[in-house]
Amino acid sequence: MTGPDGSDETVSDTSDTTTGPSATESALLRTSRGRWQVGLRTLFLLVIACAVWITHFNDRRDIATLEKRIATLHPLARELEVADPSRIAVVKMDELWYDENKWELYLPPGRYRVCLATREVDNHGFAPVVKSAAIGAGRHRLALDETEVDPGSRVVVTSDGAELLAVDEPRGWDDHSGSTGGGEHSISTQFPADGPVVLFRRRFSKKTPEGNGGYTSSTPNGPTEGILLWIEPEAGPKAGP
Amino acid sequence: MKPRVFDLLLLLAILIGGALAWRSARERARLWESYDRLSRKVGDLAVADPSRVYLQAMKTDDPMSFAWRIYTPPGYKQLLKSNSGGTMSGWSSDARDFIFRVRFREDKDGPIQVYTQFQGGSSRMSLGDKALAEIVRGRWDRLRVEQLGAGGLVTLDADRPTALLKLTMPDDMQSEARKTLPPYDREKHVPTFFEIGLDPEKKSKP
Repeated sequence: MTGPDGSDETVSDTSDTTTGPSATESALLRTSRGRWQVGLRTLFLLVIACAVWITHFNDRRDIATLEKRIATLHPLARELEVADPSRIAVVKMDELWYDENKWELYLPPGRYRVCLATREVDNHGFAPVVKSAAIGAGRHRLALDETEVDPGSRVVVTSDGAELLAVDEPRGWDDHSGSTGGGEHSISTQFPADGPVVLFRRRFSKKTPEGNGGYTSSTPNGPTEGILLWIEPEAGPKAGP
Repeated sequence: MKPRVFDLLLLLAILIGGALAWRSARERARLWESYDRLSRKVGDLAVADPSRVYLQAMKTDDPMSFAWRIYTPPGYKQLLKSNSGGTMSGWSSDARDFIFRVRFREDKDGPIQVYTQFQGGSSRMSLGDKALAEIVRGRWDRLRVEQLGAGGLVTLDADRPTALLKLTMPDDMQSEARKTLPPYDREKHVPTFFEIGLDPEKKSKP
């Protein structure tokens, strides 16, 4: 046979018994390797298999720890979570002052209105709308504030810092003898886009005179003065809470 | 033939393990991102002994606002007391992890208002009268602040009374306050302008 340089080249036969082990020797080698002895390739595969499975189990352990920590931190952080963009998402922000009521809100594409009621507020359902205003889709920051003005109270709803709704109520509407209820959704929650979402429900207590000149205060069982704030699609709510 | 089967099994284990490891690594990275964001926002407490109280101050960037992350053990009966006489009490059968806030606000023509939020409850009260408000108006950054947990995580025995926040007037403000404040406010707010702390109820012995 002629090599690349033109010289004669001898090709050795790999089956030549003078260069490889004989059948007897191979049998002896196999015997001497032992029952549990493995080849380099097997060892290499074993190391990789151990590495990937250990990595997986370590990650699972870390995931369990992280999930536990996140479950603790999540309610404290009051972050708005929008897992499903076709649904309304809302979370009440942490109160940085007494009776501070602010919400982060996400509204999916559509037309909505913010509704405010100050009379006939019951424990459930809705009340006659005193004022309402349109609000567009997207993210908003709503705030509700009740302040004392001469000669009564003023309830103001702002959206992203701008006044959206304002209602003036006469003296006696809130006699400051107590109330029940308040802001809702301290944990980020999602709701169907075709239904109403109540953000705030407060019912004022009423003073009842007692014989000794004093008075007792309690919240009436039925509809009464208070504040009810909710969001609904412009076509109107499909179902009440 | 047997080693070859074993190698194939190992290869299969690598493929399955690799796919699972890839998925769990992605999940871990996603959760870590959430955890990192949340812990930067509200802090995180490494609770080693769930029977003790853990707390750490949070940054607020406002000299009139203070906040802490607090862990209280199950059955903790807390009483929050301030030098102005205000108290807030509470009890929870479960361990609680919450943010405690103290904020001051200057009313234009009235006394200083203090807001406290502790373990789900909140309160607002007036601090002294208008004369006290005039003493500190615009000079909040001159008050000496001692805030427990400002240097990092603090661990407390559940029945140990502890001052959480102490605001002290500097010398010149003290002199001014002694001259201008009525005796009651002088006694209550000079030299310690405001102090609030935990005074837990000790567990009764059986």
